[in-house]
Amino acid sequence: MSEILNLTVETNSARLAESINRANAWFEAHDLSERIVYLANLVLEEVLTNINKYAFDDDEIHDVEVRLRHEQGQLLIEFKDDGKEFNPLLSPPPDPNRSLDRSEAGGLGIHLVRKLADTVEYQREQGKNVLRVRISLGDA
Amino acid sequence: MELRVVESTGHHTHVALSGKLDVEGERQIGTEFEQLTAHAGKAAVVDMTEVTYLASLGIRLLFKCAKSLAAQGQKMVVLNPQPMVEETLMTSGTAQFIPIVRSLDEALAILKAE
Repeated sequence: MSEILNLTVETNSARLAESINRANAWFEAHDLSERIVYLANLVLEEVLTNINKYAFDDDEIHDVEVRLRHEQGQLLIEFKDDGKEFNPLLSPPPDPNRSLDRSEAGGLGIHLVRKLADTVEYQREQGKNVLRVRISLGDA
Repeated sequence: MELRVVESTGHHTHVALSGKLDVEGERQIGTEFEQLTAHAGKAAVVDMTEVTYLASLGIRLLFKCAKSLAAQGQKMVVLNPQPMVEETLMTSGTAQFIPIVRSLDEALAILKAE
């Protein structure tokens, strides 16, 4: 089993579930713990949902490149999209007194990713948003 | 995702969820969940023993219904979530508004407290 899995996920597409299933097959092949698989699924779903909702102003289908990499005791999940420049790390965390039930770019989903993953980095590279999320594998 | 009514009394509704409360899960049960909780105007026990995954869309559903109930002077509690689901509830801040309990007795005690 390769240490890297590259996926191309289409926005506005019913094929998202297919990509998530491929990722889960890869997690299973790497014998990752239940907790790591849970966190990785959360990262995939929340980031891709955010990109799908907010990165593009049109209704066209866009490709999002997703790379999963098992390296040095970590799982790296990298997302690249050519949507509007958006650094989710600059978004304030949602105010639980007011806005947990509202949908805002970089809102609750990204807050969960930032709190539950070990590191989250954003860069704008060659006209693309690049988000790298690392989850420590611990004893997994 | 499945939604089941365990008990409905004049005081409260006890519902049980099972499966993944993600985008697809919320789509499957969201409307019915709102009808059974927020729109019923009674206290609610949400048994999450068999919920294996919780994403932000599911959290928003819980929070929206709990907030609606609070506006009606009613409460919602979450019963027995699995460890990762509980961690997600705690991390999101939801647990500040929706108490997490380990038994139905504990749930009913909270719902009946002034």
